[in-house]
Amino acid sequence: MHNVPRTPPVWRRYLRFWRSDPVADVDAELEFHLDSRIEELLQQGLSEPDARRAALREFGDYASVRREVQMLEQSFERRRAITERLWDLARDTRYALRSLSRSPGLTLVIVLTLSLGIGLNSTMFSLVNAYLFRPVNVPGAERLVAMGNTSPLMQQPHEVPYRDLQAYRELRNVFENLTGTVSYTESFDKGDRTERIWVEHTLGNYFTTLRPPMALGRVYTDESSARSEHVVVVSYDFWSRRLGGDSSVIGRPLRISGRPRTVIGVTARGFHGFAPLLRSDGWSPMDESPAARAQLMADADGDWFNTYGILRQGVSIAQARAAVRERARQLQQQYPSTNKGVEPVIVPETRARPVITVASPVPLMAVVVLSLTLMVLVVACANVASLLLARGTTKHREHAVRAALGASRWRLTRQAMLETAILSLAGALGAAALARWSTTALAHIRLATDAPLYFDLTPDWRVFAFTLVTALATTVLAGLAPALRNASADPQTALVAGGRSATDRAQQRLRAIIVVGQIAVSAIVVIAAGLFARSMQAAQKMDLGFRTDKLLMAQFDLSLSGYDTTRARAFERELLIRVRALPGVERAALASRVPLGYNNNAQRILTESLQRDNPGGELVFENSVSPQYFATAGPSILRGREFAESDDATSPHVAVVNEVMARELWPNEDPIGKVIRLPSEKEELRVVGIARNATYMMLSESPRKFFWTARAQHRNMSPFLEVVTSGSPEALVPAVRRVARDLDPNVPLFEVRSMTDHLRNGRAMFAIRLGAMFGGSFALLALTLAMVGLYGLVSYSVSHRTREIGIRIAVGATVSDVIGLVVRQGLTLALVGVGLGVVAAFAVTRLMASLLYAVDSRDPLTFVFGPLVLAIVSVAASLLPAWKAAVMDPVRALRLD
Amino acid sequence: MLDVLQGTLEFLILRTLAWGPQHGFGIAKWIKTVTDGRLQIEDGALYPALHRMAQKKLVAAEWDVTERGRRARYYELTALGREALGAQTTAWNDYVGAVQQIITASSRKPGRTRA
Repeated sequence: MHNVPRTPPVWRRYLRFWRSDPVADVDAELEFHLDSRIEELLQQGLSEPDARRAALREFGDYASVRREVQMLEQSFERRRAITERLWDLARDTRYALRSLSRSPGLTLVIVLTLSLGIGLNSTMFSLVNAYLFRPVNVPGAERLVAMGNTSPLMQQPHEVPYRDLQAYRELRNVFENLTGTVSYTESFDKGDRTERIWVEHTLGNYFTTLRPPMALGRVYTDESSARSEHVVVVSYDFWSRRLGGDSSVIGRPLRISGRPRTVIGVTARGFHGFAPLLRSDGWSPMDESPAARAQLMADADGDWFNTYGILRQGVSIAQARAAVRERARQLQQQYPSTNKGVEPVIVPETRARPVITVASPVPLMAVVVLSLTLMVLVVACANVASLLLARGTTKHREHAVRAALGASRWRLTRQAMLETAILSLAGALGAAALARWSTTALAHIRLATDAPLYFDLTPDWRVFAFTLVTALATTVLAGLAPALRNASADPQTALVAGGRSATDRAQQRLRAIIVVGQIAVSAIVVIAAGLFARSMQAAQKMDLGFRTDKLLMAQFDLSLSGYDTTRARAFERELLIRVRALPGVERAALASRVPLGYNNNAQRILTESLQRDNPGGELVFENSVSPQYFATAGPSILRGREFAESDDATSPHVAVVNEVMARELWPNEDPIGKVIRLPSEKEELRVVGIARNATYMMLSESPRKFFWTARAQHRNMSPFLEVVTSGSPEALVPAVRRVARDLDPNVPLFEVRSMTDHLRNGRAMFAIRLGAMFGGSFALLALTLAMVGLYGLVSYSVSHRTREIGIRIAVGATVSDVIGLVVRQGLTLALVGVGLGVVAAFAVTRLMASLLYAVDSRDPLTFVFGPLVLAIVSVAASLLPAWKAAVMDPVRALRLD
Repeated sequence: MLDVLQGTLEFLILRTLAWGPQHGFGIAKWIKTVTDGRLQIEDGALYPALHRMAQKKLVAAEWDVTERGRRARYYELTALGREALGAQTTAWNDYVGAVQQIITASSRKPGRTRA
């Protein structure tokens, strides 16, 4: 039996109202054919059933024909719909471009505003990308992890000692391999002069574990370090800059720190080691011969390693963490004297930048910075929305006409959105150009150090994608409200009323809401920036416990120039004598560390009381200093004395301790004369003085134990010279350099700067300084944009109230009356916005509390001063249109329209 | 009776529509009338061909109402279709001429090529 066609359901017919329905059409066509034939046959005298049978027979296979034709139609319909949509898009695009080019000034302002907003976001995201997302260029980078230890001495994760590292290396079911590296400054002997370079001393397996890309030669291995080979792999930059890019350099010995080391390889361009801030010049295997290894294993307080590993495929970071913790517990039991309270930390390498020690606040910092920049973008979008709305008013009639002619509301909305999308994409292009410039500028932010800092902010696909998504979000944010608003134009009112009146008032209200919103958002940005600025101010004013003004510092390293201890002491003595004799120098001293510097030294100490609790002793930070150090740069001596010339190598060894150490180690006793033993040295130290507590490692630290030893009684070849000057410290730099050169031209001075510079632009305040700098510029931008928005709205409303104001003036309103009227309007909007902003800021600034230093996240001064600034600026933004309104000629105003 | 090939069907449709717009049923009827039913075409075969031609823009389709008040899909030659009809007519004429020659020459045997 043939498949007899059925009539299609009724609803199908209605589909046609909005698009053709191929299935129903085919049925109708084929039915028509059959019906016509049946009718013919009936007229020829056939019975109804016979006629139907005959018609179907002549037709052939009805079902398969129907199916074939339907399929043809459906595929055709699909293709047609796509082409039609593309054509629509092309047409709309052309229309949008033409419409935009008709008001070039407005288009330019909008594109610039968006470029600024998007560009700011792209720039900051480039920074965040470099810190948090972009993987290192090594195979298996997604399985790369960094490790650190936390200990009672330091709560921030810090580097891992050799013995622990070797223990973790044994976890072969977790790590493919684990390796460690320590950065050292060394001298590179170029024959005529020596240069300071940065060489990483690594475990032998560094290259075989991390497999960074190589440009030339080979790498070293575990065997190299076991045989204590004197080899070096140099960076591409070092090779091209210092070795002239000569490929025959492989196999040639270089003199590094006075000893020959054979160049065996060159890393590929762009690989500078793992710390993204520091550019390493070379890598050498450390001595891991059996004897050296035994020493390394015994010295749990010795070299500490930046530790990196590659997880085995399929091992999660949580599994690795569990395994490493378990191993750490065993170490604690095995070596209670050194490992008590030591806990390992393991994180993806991307969470350990620039180094694991300081990486923990980075994600929060990124969130805060990006939130602030997004807020600036929101404010910028608000301006664009306002401009589009205002432009919509003038295009009102055009829209109304198009709507009357049958353009759907959807079509008009889409048209308007397309315009915004084009503006946003143009903005994104501008943003890319801006970001290119600003990331270059950012990469040059100075950190007060001679270390070869390097910041790669080159954009990658992530930055590109971020910019694009931001541009899309911008389109919706800035375009949707105006598009809907303009499309909803009721043709009749618009055409009859000539584009004013009711719709106009609704639009005014919408713009007012937008302005209130943008002032609220910029209030949040201003307050956040204010908190950063206050934090910076507090940090600068803080009493650190040591001298900070009129103090010059300079470092030198005698070991780089091949000095032995005797010669070094002679050099130091002579240097101090000559520097002290310089005019403008009040005092001078030497210290192995400066406060808040880049490296620290901790010594394991033992006292009678400590010995009872912890036979291994306790690690305490230490500084070894020359006579007159405390008078020159150090904290003041509270009791006892500081070191004198008489405390030399032959006299009994002495120490100065700080208040915390005195109180904790000898409670209720007089610490003067008490004995400290250093397990690493034979001599005992006798306490001769107590110094004030100070800040040593970081601004936020709570007072901690600290002690000083006499330089003459200990070996340290790389001290800082600290000089108190009567005038500006910088003025004395040439004289000090000359003294050093006269003594030995082969001893270069580095890190030469005033203590003020060291503190303000150094590591200690780097994050706060960036926060204050970024926050300040974001706030300025947000504020400016919001004020432009307010100004625009007030001017617009004044221009619409011309008649009303004219009447007021005509009946006797004075200039100040009119100004008051207009400014009141602007100020009211501003105050509502600021009020909302303050409430919101109160809720969100708490999130940045841990980034702030010495300032509460609800600092009353900031919360009063920030809004005040906004209010004042708002009055200023309203004054100009107010003035224009006040001085207008009422007669002309009334004649208008 | 002859079996009609796909290309032939297309030509027949073009030819039919040269007289003016027509619906599928009309086209089938006209072909039957003109050829006295000597070409055996199932009516159904017409429709896939028509729709393909519509997609190739040889014909344009539009819904209209017949004299008797029923909705039917009418087909009409497009400029492209007219061009195709001209080209195909020439091709058919050549083809038919060639076949004709073969038929009339069939008494002669094909000559052998001399070596």
